[in-house]
Amino acid sequence: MFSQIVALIYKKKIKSHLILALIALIVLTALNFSQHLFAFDLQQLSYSEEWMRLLHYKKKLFYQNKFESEVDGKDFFLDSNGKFDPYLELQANVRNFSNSNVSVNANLRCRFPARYKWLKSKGVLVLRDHLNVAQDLECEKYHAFLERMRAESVSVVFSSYYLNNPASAFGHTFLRLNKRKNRQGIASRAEELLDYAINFGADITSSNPIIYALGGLSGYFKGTFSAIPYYYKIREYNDYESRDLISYELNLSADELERLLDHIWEVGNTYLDYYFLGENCSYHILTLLEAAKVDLKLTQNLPFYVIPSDTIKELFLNKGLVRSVSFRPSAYTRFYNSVATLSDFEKSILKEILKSNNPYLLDKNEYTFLEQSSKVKILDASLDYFDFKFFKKLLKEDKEILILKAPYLLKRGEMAVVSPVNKIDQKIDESKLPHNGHGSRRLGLSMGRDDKRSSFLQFEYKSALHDILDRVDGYPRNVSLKIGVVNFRMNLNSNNFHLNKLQLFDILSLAPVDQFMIRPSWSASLGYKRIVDRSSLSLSLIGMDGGMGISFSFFSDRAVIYGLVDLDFSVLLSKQRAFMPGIGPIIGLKFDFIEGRISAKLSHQIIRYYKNFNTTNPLNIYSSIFELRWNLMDNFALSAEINSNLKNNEYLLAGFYYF
Amino acid sequence: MKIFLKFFVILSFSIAANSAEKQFGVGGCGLGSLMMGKDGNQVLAITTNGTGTQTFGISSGTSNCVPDKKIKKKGLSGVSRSEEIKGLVEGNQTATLNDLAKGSGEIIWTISDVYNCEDPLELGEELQKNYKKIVPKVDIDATELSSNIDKVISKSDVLSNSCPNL
Repeated sequence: MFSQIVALIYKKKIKSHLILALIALIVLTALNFSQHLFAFDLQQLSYSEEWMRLLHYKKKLFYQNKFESEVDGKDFFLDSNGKFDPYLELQANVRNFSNSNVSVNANLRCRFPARYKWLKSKGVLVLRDHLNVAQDLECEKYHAFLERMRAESVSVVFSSYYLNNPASAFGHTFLRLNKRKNRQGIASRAEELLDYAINFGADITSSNPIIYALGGLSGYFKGTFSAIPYYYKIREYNDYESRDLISYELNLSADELERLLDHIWEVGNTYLDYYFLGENCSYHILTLLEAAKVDLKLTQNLPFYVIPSDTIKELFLNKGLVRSVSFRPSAYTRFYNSVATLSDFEKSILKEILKSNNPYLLDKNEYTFLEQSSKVKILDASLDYFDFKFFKKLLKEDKEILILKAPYLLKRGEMAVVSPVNKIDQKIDESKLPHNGHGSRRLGLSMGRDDKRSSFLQFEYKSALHDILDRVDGYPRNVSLKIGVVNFRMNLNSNNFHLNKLQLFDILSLAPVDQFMIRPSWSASLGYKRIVDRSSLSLSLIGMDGGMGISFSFFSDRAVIYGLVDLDFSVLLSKQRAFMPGIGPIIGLKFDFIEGRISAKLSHQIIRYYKNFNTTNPLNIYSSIFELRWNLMDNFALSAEINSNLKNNEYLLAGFYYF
Repeated sequence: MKIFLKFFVILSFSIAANSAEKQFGVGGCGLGSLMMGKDGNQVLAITTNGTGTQTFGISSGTSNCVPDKKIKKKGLSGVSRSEEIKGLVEGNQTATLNDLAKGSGEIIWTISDVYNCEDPLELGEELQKNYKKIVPKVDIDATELSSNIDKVISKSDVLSNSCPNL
């Protein structure tokens, strides 16, 4: 066709305006063709991994080709149906980023820098030069944010388990943007105070615990990102709640880090519905990282509930992602690290000082032979003691405590010796790192037999997290935190299959007292259980029980002995339903060898139930349990168990698999 | 079923009563203000910074104590070094007092970094020497504390040479 036209022109047989019309036609056809190509590209682009992750799209369950973004703020999308349609949203973005109105366009770029840069790199935007200049002029807030962060690298920080608060019992994670430093520091983690923490949390709008629990499960609360100085997180977790902080520094390239910051800015200005189980604090830390580095696979293998320590393990499944690990001891750990540097004699002086509340005791004649460095260590330990014991009061600037602590500070200042860095504080205790822990879910299969010669099989599933006898690495010592336990039994003689135990939670927290600290030990559980009374009748109970008591440790924490008083508020599930309040003591002994590879627990409980509060004819239930565990491999254990109730004994052999 | 319901109601009321007991007001500035709200809701503690009304960039100021107006006017990067120290001291008052008395520690390393000092140990010695001057009374507030630190550092002949950012 083209050659014909050329021939026609050449022959000058047609008029010039006709030629123009023909050229216009050709151009239009070509344009139309390229538009088709363009559209095809855009559609493909809109289902690319990069776009999916930048907009937080997830494939909808039970649908072949439907998507939904986990972001819930409407301002995050440029198309009104953008939350559900990646293609429409991409089209809207291309259209708007190509808008020739300078201020509209610049505002948009400042709002969504990661999207803009990515679309630009894909060559799908129609750009005019003057807009590039405008962007730099207008993004004042965003650049101020970047300048404030001055990020050099990024870490995922794990805040260890905190049993005193149900929301933090499983730990917590957040991002830390590591700031460029002026100079090389003195200690390995000095000067990290000015780093910034990026935290995802729920904006809790109700103090009613029921609304809190139900709302948290159903996504009623809005989840938002916040950027606050890291030292607030340190004070909150390290000091206020006495939890160790473990930082995993990631290997991101400069481009990936830039994209991460851009994307943090994008989601930082909107909200995502917060689900305690799934889309929680730890989950969305991972989705941020996935958006920044597309070859990461962090959220794909997680179950429908996301446990912070599991997300740390996901980091390690991506080879080469974790560059280094650092450990920041809690106020509690710091105090015991300080005590560990003291000799027995120095410890006794520390105790004497704390007891008499007089740091000037060090000036007594009988201590003149003490080296100055030794006095410094004692006083430093006493300051750590205050910080751990009275942090909440110190924080509220409680005058009583300030007055109590002032002479210690004054005395320490007068000594005019600079404290050395405590080397133990700098050391990383591998056994405390969460990624070294066993899998958080456990599947158990047991074979059992009792004195009456009936044999049974027992299946048990534990959704989370740790049993006191499980391998202890990465988990708190002397603690059981079991959530979602289902236990079935099948009697092999009668082929009778029944539910044996169903627990929403079952917690045992042993905090052995020592010469410096007296703390309670406690237990709590909620669920369904079966008990056997004197006439060997099996009773089904549903309800809650809780115990409070004390524990002591021996042989450098290898053995713990405990005693609790247990209160049970249960309902008897039988034809005549009845309240079954009960009370009684529990005593127990727990010990372990070879770094927790072999552990055992012996416990004995007597509980007296008063059916319908009737005190005349109480029901006494006795139960003794002995369990011996061999944590054979990282994620596999063998167990032997004996349960006794005075009338009958059960013997069980079990295998446990952690995943 | 009724018995369950009763049980549940009693249980939930007892928890509710327990959590209602721990209410504190939110106000003031510094770490305390962020934490008080948290302490008021021990069970609800998830985040310390759920202001929601401010934009992301602005809520990332040093602490509640640097006024928004100032940040808006000067931009976040416009916060001066002594204001940065003030934010640090406000958020870490307990640790600051400890470090001043010990003559070493993270707060001192950080101040040293902000002022770009050559020798953090020297800074520590100087601050420890002046402990009584910096902390003249027990219930000193963060503003006074940080301005006293500033004064000691800027008046010191030793430090004025070795801390170029002063």
